[in-house]
Amino acid sequence: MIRLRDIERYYRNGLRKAWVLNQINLDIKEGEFVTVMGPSGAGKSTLLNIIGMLEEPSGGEYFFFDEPVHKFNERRRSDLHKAYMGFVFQAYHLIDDLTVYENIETPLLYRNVKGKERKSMVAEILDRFNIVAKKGLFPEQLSGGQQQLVGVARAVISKPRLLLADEPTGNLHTKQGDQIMELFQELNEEGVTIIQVTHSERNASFGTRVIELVDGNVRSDEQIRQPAGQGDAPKGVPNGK
Amino acid sequence: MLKHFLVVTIRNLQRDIGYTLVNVMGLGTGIAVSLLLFFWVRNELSYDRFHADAERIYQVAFNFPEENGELSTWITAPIAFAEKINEEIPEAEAALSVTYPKEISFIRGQEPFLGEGVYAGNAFPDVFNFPLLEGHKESLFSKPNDIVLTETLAEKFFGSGWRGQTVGKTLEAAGEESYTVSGVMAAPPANSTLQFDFLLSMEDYLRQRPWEKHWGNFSSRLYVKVKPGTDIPALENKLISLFHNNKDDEEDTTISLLSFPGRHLYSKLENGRPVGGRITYVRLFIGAAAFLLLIACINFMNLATARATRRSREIGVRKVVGASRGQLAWQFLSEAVAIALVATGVGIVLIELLKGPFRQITGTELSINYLEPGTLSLILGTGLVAGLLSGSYPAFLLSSFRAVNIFRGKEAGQFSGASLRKGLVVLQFLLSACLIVCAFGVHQQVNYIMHKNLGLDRENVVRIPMNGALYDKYPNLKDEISAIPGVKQFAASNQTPFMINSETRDPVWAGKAPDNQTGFRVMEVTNGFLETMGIEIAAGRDFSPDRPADTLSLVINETAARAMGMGQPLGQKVEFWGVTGQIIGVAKDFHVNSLHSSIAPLILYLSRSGSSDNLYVRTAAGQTRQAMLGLEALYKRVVPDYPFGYSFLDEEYSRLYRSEMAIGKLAFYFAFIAILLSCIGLFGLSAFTAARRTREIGIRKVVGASVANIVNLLFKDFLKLILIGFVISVPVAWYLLTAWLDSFAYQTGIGASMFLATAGLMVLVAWLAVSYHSIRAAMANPVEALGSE
Repeated sequence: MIRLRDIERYYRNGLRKAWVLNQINLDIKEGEFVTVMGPSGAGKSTLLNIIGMLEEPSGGEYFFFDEPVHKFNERRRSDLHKAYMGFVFQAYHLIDDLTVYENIETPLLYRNVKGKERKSMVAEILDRFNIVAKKGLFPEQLSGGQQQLVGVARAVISKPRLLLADEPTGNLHTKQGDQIMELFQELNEEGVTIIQVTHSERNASFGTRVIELVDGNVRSDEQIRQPAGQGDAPKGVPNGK
Repeated sequence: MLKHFLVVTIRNLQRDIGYTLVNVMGLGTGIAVSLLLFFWVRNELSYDRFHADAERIYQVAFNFPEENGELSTWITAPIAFAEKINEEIPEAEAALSVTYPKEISFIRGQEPFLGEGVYAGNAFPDVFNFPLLEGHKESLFSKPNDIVLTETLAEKFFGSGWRGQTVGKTLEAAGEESYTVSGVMAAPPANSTLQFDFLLSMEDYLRQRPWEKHWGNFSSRLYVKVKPGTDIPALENKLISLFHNNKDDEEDTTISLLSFPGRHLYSKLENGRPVGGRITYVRLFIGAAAFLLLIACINFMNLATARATRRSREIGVRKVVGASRGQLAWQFLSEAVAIALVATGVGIVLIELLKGPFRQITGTELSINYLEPGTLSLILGTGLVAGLLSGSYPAFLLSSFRAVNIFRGKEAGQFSGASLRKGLVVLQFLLSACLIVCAFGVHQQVNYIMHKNLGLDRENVVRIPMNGALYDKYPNLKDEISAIPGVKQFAASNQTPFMINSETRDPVWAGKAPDNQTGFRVMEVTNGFLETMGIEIAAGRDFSPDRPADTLSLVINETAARAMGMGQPLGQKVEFWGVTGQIIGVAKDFHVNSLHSSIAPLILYLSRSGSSDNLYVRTAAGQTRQAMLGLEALYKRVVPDYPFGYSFLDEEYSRLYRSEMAIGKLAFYFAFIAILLSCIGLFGLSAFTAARRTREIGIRKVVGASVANIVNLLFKDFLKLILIGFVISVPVAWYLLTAWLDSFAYQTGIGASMFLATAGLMVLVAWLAVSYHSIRAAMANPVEALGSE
């Protein structure tokens, strides 16, 4: 699904270049649940943004389903992004002026989904995430966990093949965090590829593969479980390292 | 999608209700004022366009070459010419003469009523579209003294049930005249340059005034409706040959055909061709409307981009969940248009409130029918333009934000619109400063005009037209008039001394150069006129009732003495209009015309009949009311068949400068609105500046800055912009004002004080606008500001 070759990202600082990512080579197959870990400033978020096509690499090649993304213009990249990806943020980033229902509906608007279909899709996801009762509330009326639930619902409503999450539980306490992670696992089992950035070992244990970044380089890359549909590893039981 | 945008817009605006109010009120004011001006412009452009095929109607003008090579154009023509054109020029569908308005005093009901009408050729209903409500087109003027009334007059004379009651009825008038009503016409609309209460036939006119049949008499207007596709220059040549066939002199005279509907806006002629006129004001108003709308739109842009900091997160989220740049731009644009349309609604309310004052200033009654398609599209068009104009830049800018940068907190803090915003503030204050300086300048000139010493005393003088029997009886009524309490002095004359229009180049005197073409103003007066008017004698003496031979004497003004090249004018002989007179006195120069032109040479002669067209009475200060009562009683006894009409000279003088005063007032209001809108913008911007610099302000306070320090700190940035705007405005305003003042022969200078006052005013008002938020920010507890970080 994703093939990165010699991806690098640097910022110019006067005559010097400050490297954030250094010659990253990475392959991610469909159905994987990848966790990117590493200390602050290691380039985790930048990597996620590049994969999510929100940011351009300074060099290297990026193939998404064998399409050469690095050669595309912004419009085509944003089309790809729109067609395949959902994004979850640490700070939820819900739109304050919209209700839960409207926040979840927003991605469908930009995908020109018809009104009736939109209604049933939002209703389905509200039901599935158990937030039907909250649909008329505004973000500020929800707890952090509930807001992130809405954030995930918004990310998956458009049925993305790839879900990108940047510290999705960073602002949540453990119990709420686990709830989100279980949801991720469930989505992954349904076939959604997930890449998450996190500091938490506990969160990483929900995934199938852990990549550790240090100073813009991949230090380790380890499969900790068979991805869904590719093996018979017990589900829902983290087996640690 | 649109519904979704609308929901977001409304919630967003509710959240920031202050911002919303500032925006909607500011934009609403801008839209209201510019719409008002656009309506006025539309009204001006509609003049005389309501006639069918208006563009085929022309007014015939004659051009006479002058010594200096220029053409002097007369927009009048011999009455006999119309008939010849109808007979011999196939390109002319119809031609007719229309006289200038004449007054008739109708005697019907309690009081005599003075109506104003025109005599016109029979083709009138074929050329002009004033619908005939009663009577038949063919038989309007079948008998002598047939009269066609307008609806207004018909209602006045025959009551509201006048329909079917008018034709064949007789109307008595002063001088034992009587007229038979032959039809009723719709009253000329306000946007018609031809205005009349009634129509009479040209045949009657010529019967009463046979001398008007002569080809040398240019006293009426001549209109020609040409056939479609007529070659106008060729027709002009044809007409002048026809003219020469009937009048053999003046070979080098030419004819210009002036578009009739174009006359209203292009009344100023140069060498026989229209070069300008009211169109200048139309352009000025369009410019002012655009200015004010632009200032209001700039407020919107500035506030919207400043507020972007708050909305950047929403923009980022939308981008991440799949919004394309176009979709985002569309969202912000539709938001702007929605606000602009709401502002248009506010604008309409304001228009209704401003309509009255606007009419008082411009004298134009704007009848606005909001459902009429033209009006509706003008209103919606203005709203839409305002929305697109003010929304396009924010939409472009906001949609260009990159999600990644927003989430990193980059674009929110230091995004790129700041310099443009500054530029726009400069532009606003530049425009405001121009308007303020111009308002000051116009005001100063109007003030100058009103207090100008004309060389005569126009206070406490009343003019009474010598209608009917008064003209003849005046010489015998002098004792009675003197006896009226409050009357100080009085005399008669054919013209008001500061509006002398009759001009001649005929005077001949000893030593006159053959090529001397000086035009002299000429005025008929009775004994005591100069004294009544407070005009001083520089040399010699005034006319005297004790010297009967003075009917052959002349008094000239100082300019005339110079024009004749006379070192010693007293005793010299001047011949004109078949009479030779002797100069007995030289009057000190006084203004014989408006201050637009310099003082012209003037010759005064004594009325032989001892009477003249107007009676001028100087009343004792404070006893005017008493004098007027006495004069009215006398008038009603002597001329029962005319209503008592009068006007005060100081008011007549003011009326000469009506358009200047209107421009002065409008400039003042425009300036006021411009600075108000600019300050509303500053008020909003200062709120965002204060908010953005909360932390800095907090730190400064902690290290010891006073409230005044902080306010000055925030104001300093704006002050710079205001002063830059002002400096750029100086040459622009200077140019505009000089161009306007150049139309006056007598003008006040443009002083530095005007500019200093403008700068001072702008800084003061801007400080007030900025201070509210600045002081609030400066007074805030710094702990809170820093704690929030």
